Order: sequence, then structure tokens, then C-alpha cells
Amino acid sequence: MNSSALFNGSMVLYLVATVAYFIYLAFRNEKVGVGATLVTALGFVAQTAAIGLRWKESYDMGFGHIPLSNMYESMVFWSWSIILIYLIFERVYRNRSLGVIAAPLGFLAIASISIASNISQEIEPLVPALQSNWLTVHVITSFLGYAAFTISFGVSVLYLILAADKRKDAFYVVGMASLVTMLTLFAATILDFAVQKIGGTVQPHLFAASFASHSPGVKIVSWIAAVGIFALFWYVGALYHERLAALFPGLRILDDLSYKMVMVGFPLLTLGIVTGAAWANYAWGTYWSWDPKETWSLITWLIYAAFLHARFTAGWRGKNTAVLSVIGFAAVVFTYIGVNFVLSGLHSYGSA
Amino acid sequence: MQGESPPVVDEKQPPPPAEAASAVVTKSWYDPLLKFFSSVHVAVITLIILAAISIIGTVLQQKNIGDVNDNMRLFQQFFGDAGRAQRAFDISEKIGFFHLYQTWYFYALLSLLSTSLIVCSLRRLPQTWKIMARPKVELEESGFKASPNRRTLTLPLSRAEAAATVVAALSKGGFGKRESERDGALYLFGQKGAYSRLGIYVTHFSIIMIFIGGILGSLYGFKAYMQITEGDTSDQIMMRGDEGRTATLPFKVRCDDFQVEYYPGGQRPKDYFSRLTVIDAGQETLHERIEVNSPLQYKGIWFYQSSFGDTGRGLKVSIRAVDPKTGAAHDLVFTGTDILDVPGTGVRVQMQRIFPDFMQDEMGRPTTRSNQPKNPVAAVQVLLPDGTSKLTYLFKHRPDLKTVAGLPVDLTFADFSSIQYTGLQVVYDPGVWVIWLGCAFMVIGLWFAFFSSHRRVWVRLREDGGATAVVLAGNANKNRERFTEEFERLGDAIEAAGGARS
Repeated sequence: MNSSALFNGSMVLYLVATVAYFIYLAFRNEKVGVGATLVTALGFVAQTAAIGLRWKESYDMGFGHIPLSNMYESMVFWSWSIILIYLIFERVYRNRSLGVIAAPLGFLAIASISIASNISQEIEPLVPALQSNWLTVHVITSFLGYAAFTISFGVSVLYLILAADKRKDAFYVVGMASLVTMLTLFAATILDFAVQKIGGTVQPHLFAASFASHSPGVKIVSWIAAVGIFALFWYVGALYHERLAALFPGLRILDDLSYKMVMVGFPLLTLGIVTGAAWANYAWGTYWSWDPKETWSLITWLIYAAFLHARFTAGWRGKNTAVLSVIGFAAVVFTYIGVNFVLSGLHSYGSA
Repeated sequence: MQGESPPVVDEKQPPPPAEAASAVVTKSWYDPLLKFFSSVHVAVITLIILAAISIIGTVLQQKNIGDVNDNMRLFQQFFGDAGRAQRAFDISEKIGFFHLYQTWYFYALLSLLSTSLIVCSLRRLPQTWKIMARPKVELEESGFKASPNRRTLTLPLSRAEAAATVVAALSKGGFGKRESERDGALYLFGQKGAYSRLGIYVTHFSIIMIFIGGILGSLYGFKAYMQITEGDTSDQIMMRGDEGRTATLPFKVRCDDFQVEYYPGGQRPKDYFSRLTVIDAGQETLHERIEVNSPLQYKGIWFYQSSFGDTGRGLKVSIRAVDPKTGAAHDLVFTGTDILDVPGTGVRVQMQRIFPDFMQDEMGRPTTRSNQPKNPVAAVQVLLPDGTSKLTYLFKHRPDLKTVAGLPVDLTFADFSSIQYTGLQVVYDPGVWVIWLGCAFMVIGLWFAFFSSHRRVWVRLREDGGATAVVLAGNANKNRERFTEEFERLGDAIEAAGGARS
């Protein structure tokens, strides 16, 4: 057994768990619910074992290091953190209805990186700058924080969709747009994966084959389809609004959950930034250099600080803070992925 | 956590002292200013503007980090027209977009944030302190009624006995106790975790500390670079961000050795380190091996391994020649383009050229990518006994690669060395400890602000025909669900200990 087989196993289990959580929600069948939790837990155990195994494999290759050093490994850890935080949450609050958010997000994180052909999955030796114990603390704290923000985002999107009483409500539109984006990523990942497994002649990258296609016709059709899918969700979502709302915990609880997750994520992100600064100071003698990655982590921090103040002191609730959580998550994604591909800097491991 | 339930008492922000005073005294000139800076909206908007403006500096290359001229390319891509791109470039340069984080308006925003932070904290602190230190012990009937957690018990005990039971339960639960007597009723009050209310002030204070640390570093510290060739001693440093200004260290540093190791394949450095000796007042005071993530510190000045390179001097190449007939091996050591004999074979070898970091250019000609010995290749001329000669390339990392077949001796590239230099980042930052202290305060403050709560319990005991009527009320400022459970346990404990009949 090697680590990548285990990673694939956990990925499949998270997908199964996603379906199971949906069935649980729709029929309120406790047995299915318990099953969903068990499958998620099993996936988590498999993923943990896979990370451990990959760690060992790196030692076997002669340059052992904790598997937290490149895009692939950090994305796997992100997925792992989302599931960990969710499982703790489920145990503490004895409520599994949010599994329907956490399981697909956990799946998406690991699956999307597994099929991305331009991302190396190889275990690579570390350059001297990365050979530091600070790497471990920095990555673990940052990603646990990111995971908490991810769950807050999922809950906030749900809130925005369920809280709307009118289809034209701008908050509802933001919620739906986020949902459709996530669902598109989810569907594209599964499709890509299926095509890759079959080994078909279809271009295995949906995005490259549609929005980024060389043919303007395909491009236009893709955009029209995207708008169409959005319009469909937007329209149908409002029709079944009541029934949807009945599936989930009340709005007050969702609002509270989103906030609690930010409260967990914020100190962790703070620790992530502080340990990053300490590491930079130890490696280069500069704790802060306004490198794009650092700056974007600060931007993320500022957005969540604004979230907390808006809620704690200015008394914002519900839709307003939910939108801040969505914006904050967009900043998280940009800090983590966008900076590597769009901007340049110290953390440019993703562009390799 | 922050539910919508009405608070029991005194949770609402009272009118700030300045406004209360303004009823009597005429408004002073700084009142509007104070009002502005103590507004949470101003603070939140400042946070958002800071976040938004910071984005510019991540898109455009900044001085001292990247190459500002890259921005010209970016503008050209964006505008598609050289004239407009040039104009955009000039304007951006003028308004400081290429050194955004050092502009006056960025500093102004940071100052606005600090001021708002200080004013907000100072105006709210007295009220918080009052809640913590001088709690209201005698809760009114309306307060008991409005409490989110409430319990009424009748204990078959005298009031003094009942009070003792309650006090015992409170102290067992970790609640500090105060009491007061009014209108024939005994009031007890217990609280714990009051300090958690200070968490947010500690966090705010820590941000100011970090700013102070940064200011101290930029006023009294320096960042510089020094380059020392192996065997040399130097005290000259080049200041960063200050075009070519040099300075002299109060002591000297000697580079005894520099080594770099590469991972197999040759392109990725695995490790590089320098052996340094500090010479202070003519005395060798410190020997240390430094590498990335392991700096040297002497008299508050830190030396970080930052770069390295080849001086191109003192080149030494060793080629191993094996005679396949006898198996005899000879090491030929070249220090230039000399010609050396391979003893007993009549073959002579001439060093033609060394490529420290071999590559082929577009035309397929051999060349070197850099001066770093990442992939050393030697071009040697093998002079055969019959007067002919053959040019062959020897790859240090690929001894199996032979470019010419049928040579009477087997040649391999054994070793390559030359005099290298080490590049050191030299930093003196007296503010860095303030920064770390600030960071520690921030994490501790956040912990208390988010994960511990101020929990309070009010009790009223009244004699009621031989028994004692006990009313309990309680609230927590955070984590209310958890507190409700705690409150119920507390009530149960009193009930059990006092032998209540409900």
C-alpha cells in the first residue's frame, strides 16, 4: 500500500459521505446520518494514515520531511483540516446537518489537486530555506485557520440563500453565485476525474476546454451555459425556498456557527502569520517584507478583523456578516492559491 | 454565543463619560474628534481601506522587493498602448504606488487605525473595569426576571444555613463571592473569568506594541549585505535600500570556508553553509557555522546566510585517469589550461574549458548557465601518442556519459573546486523583541477574548416561614450554551445539598 492509494481511498470516501449526508438531510434518516459520519471518519483515518505514510516515504527516499511543503501536500492538509474541524464540531454540538457542507469541501480540496496535471505530486527534497521546524508550525496553524474559514464560508453561503425572502435580494444573488461556483468546481472535478480514469480523448480539463478554449464559439457557449445554470439555480432555489430552509438548522444557529468558525479561524490565522514572521526573521533577518503572500495574509486578517468588530461591537448580524465571511474566504483562496499563480514572491512553490 | 437575549444588567454601553459631562460643561473643541476616533465604524472602515489599498502593492512590483520596470510591461499588457502605459507608469510612480507601504498616506492610515484603537479602548476600559471590579451585588426583581438563566428553590433551612450552602456551591464552582443585605433579603454574587473581558484590550495594545517595534527597528536598526571571499576578513557592509552606502562594523568577520551541496540532479541546492570567525579587537572571539535558518549573532548584530557565488579564481579540477590495461588510476589536478601526462600510457590531457553550470545554448553549443558549480562539465583535449587528439566532455554528475568512444584511458571528472564567496545579510534590529512580545500578547489576548467568558451568578435569599426562598440568576458574556449547563449543575448542587422541596 502506498500513500497515493490511501489518498484516493479517502477521496472516494468523502464523496460517498457527501451523498450520504444529502440523503440524511432529505429523509432525516438517523441510520443514514450515522453511516455518513462513519464514512467521513473512515475517510479521515485513511487520509491521516496516507499523510503519515507519505512522511515515511520521504524518509525512505533519503530527504525526509513532514509532508507540508508544496502545493499538493498543503491542499491535502487543507482537506484534512476541514474534515477534522467538522468532525470535532459534529461531536461537540451533536448536529450533523453541516456534513453536507464539510464533506464536499473536504472532497473538493483533495480531489481538485489530485487531478490537476500541472501540479507535481512527487515528494521533493526541500531547499535550504524550507528546512526549518517553523515550516511545520506555520503551515499547520495557517491551514487549520483556513479550514475554519472554509466552513464559515459554506455556512454563510447557506445562510444567504436561506435568509432571502425575495429572489431579487442582492444577498441571495451573492449566496447563489457562490454556491453555483462551488458546485461547478465540484462537478468539473468529478467529470475531470471520470474522464481521466476512462482515458478518453476528451480534453481532461473542463476549464481549459470551455472558458479558456481557443475557439471563441466554445467560449461564448460556455459563458451562456454558466449564466444559464446560475439563472436556473437562482430561480428554482427561490421556488423551493421554504422546503430547503426546513432541511437545515435555523438561521440563528447558522449565523452563530459561521461566527464561531471565524472565532476559531482568526487566532489560528494570527498564529500562522506570527510563526511565518518568526521564521522569516530567523531565515533572512526580516520579519515582514511586504511580499505579496504576506500582504495578502494581512489583507485576509484585516477582513476577518472587520468581521469580528462588525459583529462584536457594531452589532452586525446575519446577511451582512455572512457576506463578509464570503469575502474573507475569497481572500483566503487568493492568499493561498491566487498569489502563487498570479503574483510572484517567496512562496512561489505553486508555479513550479 | 452572542445571542440576542437581553442582558441581565449593565451590559449596555452607558453614555461615554465625555457625553455625560457635556450636559453640564460646554462641549470642548476636541469632542467631535474624540467622537470620530471612538467610532467603531471608523475603525472598521479603516481596516477595509487598509486591506483594499494593500492590494495595489501586491499587484505592482515594489522597490527593494521586485523590479519596478516590470510594472511597465504590466501596464503595456493592460493598456496595449505604449503612450498610455508610460503615462500610467509615471503617475503611479509619482503617487508612490511603487513603494506603497512607505508612502505618507499608508502611514497616515496606520496612524488613523492606531489612534482609533487607542481611543476606542480607553473609552471603553473604565466601563469594563467597573463591570469586573465593582459588580452590582443586589440585583433587582426585574433583573432576576429578565435573566436568561433562572432557578427558584425553597430550602428547608434557616437563611444563614441556606446561605452557607449556596456559598459552598459557589466556591466549589470556582465563583468568587460577595454579599450584601437589603430589605430583609440577603444577596450573594459570584463571578469567574472576569479577566477575559481584558483580552480584547490586551490584543489592541499588542498591535500598538508591534507598530512601536517596527518604528524602533526602522529608526535605530539597519539591514545590510556583506560579501566575504573564502579566507578573507572584512568589516565592510553595504546598506540596503540606500544606494550603495557602505558602513564599517565594530568588529571583523572572516570566512574560513564555504560549502554547497546539491541534491542528485544538480539543480536544487541541498545545503550551503559558511564557517565564520568573529574577530573583535584583534581577538578571535567566536567560531560558528551558519546556514539558512541558522544565523550567527554577535553583539546584537545578526548574520544570515543569504547568497553565495564563485569568484572564478583558484580553480582546481581533478580528473581521474584509469588505464584499462593495468587498472592503475592517476588523479590529474589542473589549475588552468595546463597539459598533464597520464603516467605509463603516453597519453596527455589538456584542460580546455570548465563549465560550472553546463547547458547548451539555442545553437547547441556548450555554455554555462551561471557561475555556481551546479552541473560542472570539463572539456578536455586528449592528446594521443600518435600525435592526434580528441576533444571530450566529462560530466561530474554523469560519469557514465561518454562523448567519445575508444580512448586508451578512462577519464572521469573527480572533483571541482574554486574560491567561493559567501553573501551575508547583516541585520541589527533593536525593535524585534518588542515585536515578539507584541505577538505573544496578541495571541494570549485573542485566546482570552474568544475562548474564556465572564460568568456571573446572582442569588437572593429571603426567609419564608421557617424555610428559605432562594432565587438564582446567571449569565455569561460568551459561550452561553455552555454556561447554561454549568448554571443548571450549580442549581442542582444547591438543591441536593440543601435538601430542597420545590
